[in-house]
Amino acid sequence: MQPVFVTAFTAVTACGQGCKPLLDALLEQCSYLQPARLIQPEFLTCTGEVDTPLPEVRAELHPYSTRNTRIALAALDCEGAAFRDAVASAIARYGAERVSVIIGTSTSGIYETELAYQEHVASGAMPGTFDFKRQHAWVATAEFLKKELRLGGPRFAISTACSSSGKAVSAGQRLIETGVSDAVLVGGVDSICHLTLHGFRSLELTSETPCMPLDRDRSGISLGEGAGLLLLERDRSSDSNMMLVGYGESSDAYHMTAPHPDGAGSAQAMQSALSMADLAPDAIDYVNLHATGTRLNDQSEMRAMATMFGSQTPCSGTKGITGHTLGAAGATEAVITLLALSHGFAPGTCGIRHVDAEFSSHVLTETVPLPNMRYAMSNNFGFGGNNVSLIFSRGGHDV
Amino acid sequence: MMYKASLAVLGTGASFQKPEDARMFDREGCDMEADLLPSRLRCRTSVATKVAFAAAERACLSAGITPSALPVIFTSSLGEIDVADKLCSDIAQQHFPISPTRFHNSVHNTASGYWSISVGTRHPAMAMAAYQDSFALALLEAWSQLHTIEDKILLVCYEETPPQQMLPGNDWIGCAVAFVLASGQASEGGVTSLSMPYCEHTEHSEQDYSDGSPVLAAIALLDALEQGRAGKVQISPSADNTWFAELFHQHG
Repeated sequence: MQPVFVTAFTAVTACGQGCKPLLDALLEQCSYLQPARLIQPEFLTCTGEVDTPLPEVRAELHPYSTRNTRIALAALDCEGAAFRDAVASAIARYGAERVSVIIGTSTSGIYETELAYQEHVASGAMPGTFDFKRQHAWVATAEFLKKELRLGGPRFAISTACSSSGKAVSAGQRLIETGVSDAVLVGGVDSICHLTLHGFRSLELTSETPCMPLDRDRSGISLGEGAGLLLLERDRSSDSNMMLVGYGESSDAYHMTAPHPDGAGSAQAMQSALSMADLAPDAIDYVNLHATGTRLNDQSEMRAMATMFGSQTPCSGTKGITGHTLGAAGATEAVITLLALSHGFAPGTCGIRHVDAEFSSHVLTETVPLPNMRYAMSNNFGFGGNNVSLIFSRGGHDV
Repeated sequence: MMYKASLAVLGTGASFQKPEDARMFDREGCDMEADLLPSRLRCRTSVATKVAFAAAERACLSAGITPSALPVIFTSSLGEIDVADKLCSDIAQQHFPISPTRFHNSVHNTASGYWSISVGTRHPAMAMAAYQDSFALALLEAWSQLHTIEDKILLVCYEETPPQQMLPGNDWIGCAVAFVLASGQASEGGVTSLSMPYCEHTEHSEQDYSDGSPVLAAIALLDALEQGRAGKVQISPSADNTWFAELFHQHG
């Protein structure tokens, strides 16, 4: 695989807008999960919501305005609009036609559709602001970003549930390797909505208390929302020495909602990523796990981890801080992995009290310094048995 | 720019929800029957998933390739839109708890997920969308995968009829088209090849069905392939940025 540079990255999460609040939360192991607020269901659950004020979409693009696009816009403009500037400089270097956008999402702007249906039930008509094509359609946020940033390359959405934005990262690498684009904005955006809040509840997968991934007493997920954005480039154009050096994708071929009990599909994704990067398992210094906090998901992933990495490689799950951001999980956790690499630490598993005794991997309960970290992996798995594993490096990748 | 043959078409398939629609496109018999869709799923999967399965199964059969040997790309601008409509209605009327089956059947990768489970493949499964460009960009994604990591791939483009409440005035039909593709030029046997898909800015496209289903563009390509046409074929219905591919037909 042709490695590509990650020249800029950012995230908007429950921790706040930008990398800084997320980095602080990772270092201090501070959870941002609180009882659900945006939507208050009739059952107990905690969520990681973006409570910080979201920017307004400019008038010209207002038909695209949804909670999703406003979270994406916040990611462009937080921390002095650093990410927006990085995209602008990529356009200046390569030309707008050579810059593409691929966004992963699990529910796109369905939150606004839910509100429109409520109005329809009350008044008999959909609200005048409802615009299915620009709000609910899967590609809406990618199209909004293309127009907002005046990109000229292809734009599409990937929606494979919780692996969506991990797969957006690998699809972006392919567009560069094949010469279709020189830079690709890849990422994931998802907002809290009734569909997922009530849906995971109906599957009995939500936790009443903040989620406790990998804990022996874990009882389900806490939903989150947010955006993670990465700028992949053919050439190194910034001070960033972060690279994507491998990815692996696979299917479980097992069940729509339950993972393969032994993690065979997820192990295959990790193995493919290692093969593509031409790395042995012991080259990986840290693995950011999918670790949702459900009984079966964590068990499946940890069995795959034991098969792949034995008991030495440090690993952790970070959804106890941000919540499970679903279609945005792959990208926000790629950002977490890049923060760990660039700042030389491995985050702990926030919320954990007792590591499940069945898990033989080196689960980090606390954040630890790893100043010489060079390669880190990030895993994401979704409904349909859809798996993706990414490998990032700091510095060169000469194997 | 010269576009060269770089995608060989090994097999194709189509499926229509309604016989009258199949007739309108001269594809009698291309119904929604799919042997690969397990009977326990037939009563609870959508039209979108059914047409996708049927077209995919026919494409594998026509290519003579076992379905489990192929990574897949499923593309649809709207996906499981009928399930989304029912769930939004349930939610608006506070009919809680919502159906867990309905919930997991609302994800965009419902069809691709059931496909990988039903045929028993661990190959990667992509589920993507690009509204009216859903077919064109899936062809680009297929081309990218075939020029980096895969040898052969199954591409399925499918839609069902969206509820009028969501997309007022639409006349979309439930249908799907599938292609089995390989990298490189077509080998012996008189099969056809495509170039890499490319985009051109056009004021007015030849066929402007800009709010139409992307599957119509896939059907147009299927027609061109079967008629042995060569040259430029429009593969997206958009009015301003239109996608094309060059078609190469080799007589074996």
